[in-house]
Amino acid sequence: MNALGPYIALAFLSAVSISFQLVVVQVFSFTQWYHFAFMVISLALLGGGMAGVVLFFGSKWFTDRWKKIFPGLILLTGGSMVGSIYLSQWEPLRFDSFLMFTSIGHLMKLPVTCLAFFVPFFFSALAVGLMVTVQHEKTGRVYFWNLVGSGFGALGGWALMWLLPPELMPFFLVAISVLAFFLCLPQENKMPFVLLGIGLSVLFLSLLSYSPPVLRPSEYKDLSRALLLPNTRVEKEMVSPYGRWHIVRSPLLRYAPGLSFSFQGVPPSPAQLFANGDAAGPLFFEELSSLYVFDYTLALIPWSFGERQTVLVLTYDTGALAAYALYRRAASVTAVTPHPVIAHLIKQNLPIRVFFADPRSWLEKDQGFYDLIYFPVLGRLGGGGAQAVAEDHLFTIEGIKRAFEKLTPQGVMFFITWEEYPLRYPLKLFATIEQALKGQGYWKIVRGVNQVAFVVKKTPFSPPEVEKLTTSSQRLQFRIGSGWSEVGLDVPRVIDAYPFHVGPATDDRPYIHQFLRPRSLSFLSSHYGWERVPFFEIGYLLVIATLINVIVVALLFIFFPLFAIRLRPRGLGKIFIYFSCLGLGYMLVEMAFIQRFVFYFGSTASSMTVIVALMLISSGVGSWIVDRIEMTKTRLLLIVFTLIFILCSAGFFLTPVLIKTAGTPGWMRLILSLLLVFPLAFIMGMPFPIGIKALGKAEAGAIPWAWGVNGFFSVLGACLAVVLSVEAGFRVLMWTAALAYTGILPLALGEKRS
Amino acid sequence: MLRVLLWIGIFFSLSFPAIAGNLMEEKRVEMVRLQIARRGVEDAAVLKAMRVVPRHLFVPNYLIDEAYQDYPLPIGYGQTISQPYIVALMTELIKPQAGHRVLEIGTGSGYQAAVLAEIVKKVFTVEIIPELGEKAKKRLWELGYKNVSVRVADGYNGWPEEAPFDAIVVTAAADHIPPPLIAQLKEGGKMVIPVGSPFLVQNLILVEKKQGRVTTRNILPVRFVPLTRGK
Repeated sequence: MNALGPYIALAFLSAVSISFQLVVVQVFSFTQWYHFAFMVISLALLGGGMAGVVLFFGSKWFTDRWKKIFPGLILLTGGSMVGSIYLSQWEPLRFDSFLMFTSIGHLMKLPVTCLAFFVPFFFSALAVGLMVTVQHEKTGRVYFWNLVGSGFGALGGWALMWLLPPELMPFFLVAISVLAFFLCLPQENKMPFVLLGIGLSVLFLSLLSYSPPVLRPSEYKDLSRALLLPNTRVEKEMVSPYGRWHIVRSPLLRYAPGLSFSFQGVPPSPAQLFANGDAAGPLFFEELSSLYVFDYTLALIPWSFGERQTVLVLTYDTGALAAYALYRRAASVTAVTPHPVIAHLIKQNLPIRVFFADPRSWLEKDQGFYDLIYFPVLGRLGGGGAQAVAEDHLFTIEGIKRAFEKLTPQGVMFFITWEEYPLRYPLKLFATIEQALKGQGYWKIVRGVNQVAFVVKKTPFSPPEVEKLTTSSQRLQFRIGSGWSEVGLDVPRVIDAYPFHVGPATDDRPYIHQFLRPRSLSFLSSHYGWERVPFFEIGYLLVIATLINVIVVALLFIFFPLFAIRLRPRGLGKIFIYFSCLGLGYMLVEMAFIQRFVFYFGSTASSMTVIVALMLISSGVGSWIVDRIEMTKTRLLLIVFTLIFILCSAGFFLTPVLIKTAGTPGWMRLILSLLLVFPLAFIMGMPFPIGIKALGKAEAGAIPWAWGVNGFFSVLGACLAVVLSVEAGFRVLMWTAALAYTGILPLALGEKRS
Repeated sequence: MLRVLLWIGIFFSLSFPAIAGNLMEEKRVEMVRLQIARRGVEDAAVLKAMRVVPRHLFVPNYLIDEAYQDYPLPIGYGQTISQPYIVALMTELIKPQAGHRVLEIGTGSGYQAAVLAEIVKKVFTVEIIPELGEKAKKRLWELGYKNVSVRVADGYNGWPEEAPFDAIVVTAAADHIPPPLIAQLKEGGKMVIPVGSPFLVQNLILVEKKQGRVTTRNILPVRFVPLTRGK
């Protein structure tokens, strides 16, 4: 075995593992819902912890044969990745998230699916854990290759997704695994290994050629149901790291949300865009005249009482309102979307300015003023539940305030939200607007068919404006007023007593789509039954369900080995605290940064790729240093206190810094991200190898157990980060991470010299 | 001995359908009592219809045991047979009368049409998926529902040749109320329709046409898995 071979193989293996996580997200986002991807990945990543348990039990057996086992595990990792894709799409095992709340059969298939995806992560973690155990004296180096490989894997996986659909990516990953396998073969008796590698390569190539896997979305997803309609066809299909996109044309897919009863005839049937199998919106590109239908929806309202020359459309869908502004003959239309594919489509088809950016960060840099600012339509009636834990910095007090500053004196901000029951979106949006304006603005509420709109102005509505607004609303059979009762909505006077969280969203807690609070559960269960609660806010509930599952599994498998073999390593408590806190702290920070940087990079996919890559590579460099410097007690304490200081202050400074610099060019944002992430992640990469090295000297047998504890708590940290962020906000999340890192102190204080 | 066993076998195989039928009838009675009447559906004609229509014959064979459970069931093609309560509620909301002509959009399994057919004079039902429409047509015919006409077509346009209707029941969700359906509703007629995203939570809305003006009332949140439970 070449001296560097196993390390390079380890880097390839780590790259493959992280790329596969991206694959799983894409697979579940397309076939089910994104949040099931979160759940499946979290549970599958428990494979890391389990690997520690298995290593702990079979420590001697594994370490004696590690030169043969390590390449084998790499091969098994790649192979099981391909296998898990086939298994998850095999009809007897394929679960349907839309049926699992009423069908026990589908509910039972979920753990089986998790198990299928658990296997590759388990093999991968077993290989890495084995290296950490065997080479504990060089942990810094092992961890360096592991983290740097993971970091580049994130970048490579992201790039590859522009070329390959997710179901075929595992074949590419298995090819890299085979390459890694050959890089770390034992020197003696190589031939059986070589034959095995060649044989498996032929097998996977044959599979790819003759029976490639096919992803089948749930039959209840928008795309599946649309394609069942007669005369319906897919015009174009695109793959990207932002998901899988289909342009579908059908004479039966009509678009007229909240259409007035005054409309006569049949609405138009434009081509429709589907993102990951969910309807993303119509493509009104060919005939702007068909947009006359919008004259019978709430979209007309801002045009009904004044001229609008400059229009800004902040959009999460396909920009139909931008096309409508053109149809209304606006002199200048600007559209901002966080979806590159949509930005590209609009740019190709409409004569308007289009920007691919997070709308809030774009607002921060833009210098223009507008007669009309359309905000994205909030919720797709019931759809909000699925994105409950998604951060949205546009619909916050600060975001709305910023948009308000960009209005011309007679300008109008216009918000549309679905009127779902029990009422949530309209109340939360209203509370946020009210707090943002703080007596500065003037508004009217217009209630259409199942939709509510807020018209906000800088100056008071003049009598002619009020008259025009009232006339238009009456013509469309809509209701208009300055308060809820005037539009016929029964809204509670005391918002705090309401069973849902409908208070204003802020930059610290930017969750306009999140409404559940503990008392919501009792309200929903008593009115609609427990089994129906998930449909009101599936996203957040799945995170909590995952968190509970992870806690149970983690505790069971962390303590089971100790009782099973009655082994009590010396300093058990210290080891547990040290490695659990490291796992927890690292993931709290990583998740917090991914979510916060979405607003910086425009989308979750971009943010995840950049932040994961930057953090892992920086931490890898930190690990590398550990092998090269003598670690004294003072240095260890310095590391801990620097970490705690940076994390505590990041709670205060990170968000304002990101907001202030969001308008800088892309390359500048990348450099700034590096500057913001590197120092922290560099230091965060050091405590783990320091701990393993110390443990190697004091209690080497406990290394696999410590590795497992760290693995379990990493997964727990990922789930906890989401819950903490929603419930307490970004600052508290960062402070909790700082608190977690104080877990290093007992070891640091007891450490003389490692 | 062999002969005795043979006779016992013949007796049971002949009487099994009757026993099974009785069992299903008991389940239906229980379903109406526990899931429907207890939740506030009071219309005697609706309750009777729900007790009569053999729901288990409208679900796939592998789901027969679950036919009378308090939830919707998949029937293929991305469609479901609604929860019994929601079928009863939608039927009660349109206040069906014996002489009524009712339009249903979204035939699915044909169960809602059968319930309506027990009460009203004539039911017109439209299904867009040919396979579902043909199956439902055959099933309804075999069960003796001669007052139901099934058409495979785009339900968005209603059934203009047979309009106007005393009531319209829409079982497929849309993001707006189709204007052709409003046009085909009689003066004083009622329409019940889920409005919202077709795949998650929708608002069940009662539309009434009075003196040419359309009014709406939100009834409750529903889903293709309808979202409701007792008062």
